Amino acid sequence: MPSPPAKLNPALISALVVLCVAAIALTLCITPDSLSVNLVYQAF
Amino acid sequence: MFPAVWSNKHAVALIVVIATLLSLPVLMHVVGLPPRGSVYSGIRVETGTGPQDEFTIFEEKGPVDILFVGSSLLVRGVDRDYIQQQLSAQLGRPARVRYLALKWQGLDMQYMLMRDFLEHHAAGMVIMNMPTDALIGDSPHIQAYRWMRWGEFPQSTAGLAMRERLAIYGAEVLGAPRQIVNYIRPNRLVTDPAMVAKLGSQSDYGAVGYFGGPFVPEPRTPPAFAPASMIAQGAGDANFDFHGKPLGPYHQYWARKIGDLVKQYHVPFAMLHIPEDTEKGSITVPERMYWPEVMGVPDAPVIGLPSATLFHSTPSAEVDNYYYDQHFNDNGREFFTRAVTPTILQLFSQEAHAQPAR
Repeated sequence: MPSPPAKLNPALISALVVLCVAAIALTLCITPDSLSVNLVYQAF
Repeated sequence: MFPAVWSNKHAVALIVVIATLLSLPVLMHVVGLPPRGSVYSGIRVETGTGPQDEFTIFEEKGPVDILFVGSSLLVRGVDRDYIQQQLSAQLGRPARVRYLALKWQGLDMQYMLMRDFLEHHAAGMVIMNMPTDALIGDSPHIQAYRWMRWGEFPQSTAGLAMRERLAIYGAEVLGAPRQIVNYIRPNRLVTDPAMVAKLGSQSDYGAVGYFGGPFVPEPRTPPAFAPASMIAQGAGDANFDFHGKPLGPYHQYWARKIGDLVKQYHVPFAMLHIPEDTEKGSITVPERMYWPEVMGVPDAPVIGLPSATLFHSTPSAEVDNYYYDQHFNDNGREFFTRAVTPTILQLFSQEAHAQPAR
């Protein structure tokens, strides 16, 4: 297991958080109906 | 506790992976998209007619006389071969009738199928079934991530609200990894024409009873109806109810875009209502809106028969035998197609006569 970081660059962590928020926002823009039906039919 | 990010290098790696995935639709557009001819067969065959759509649009050559565009209701509601046979007899030459459809409803999907087709073929007439209450919500079609690709038809989505464009982009992000595989290994998983036809017709549902019940063969010759009686005479026609639940802005947008396609290609256009099981006993044809007005094609006819009229000589208890769920089984498909074919042929002779398929 990697050792805990001594110091993480705050700019990198901020960029990571922004990207994660963007990914979640896009996911929420897709209707939950679509996702659930696709999962049911394994359409992925 | 195991840290989510354990080093700056790890953070950079995560940023690169997430940023790449989120921007993949744009990156693919910059690099060059795989051929559009492979998008529909990327849809899993279990979900229906994708391979047949691909064949009809991108592989088969030449014009068609009548093109049906719609959802699974259309596939299970219209007997293409019967109409083709009757139209051939009317024209005195072999007619070509085709349909394009995908499971689930959505006017974005119907726009894209119609557009792809008209970019490659001429059509003597296009007939569409419009969304019913089974279309829930107001967002991209369930399979949109298969056939919407960033930057491909920018003018098509230019008028959408930002929220709706984000939804489409979300779908494109979802579909991009699968689209990438097309660079290496193109779709076209189904190369057997018989299999394509079988999947396309969803014939597995032909002899299935209502919601799992036994299949009961029923008479398939409907009463004769005057062709003109099946065409709505304006929004106030007593046989039609155009005041259902209105479509949301997203699908109304695509309805207008379909109207634009009709005008752009000067193709005769009509709409066909296919009765669902829940309409049993209804004395009107339920439509969510008055489509000619919504689409901006005021002269486009709407064809429909109230369920009570279509089945007026069928005992009420036997009407369910014409369905396997909300869709027709072969009893219903043949019965309904025979009922509406005279109207379709009459419209074809009126509307498409001056514009024979080229």
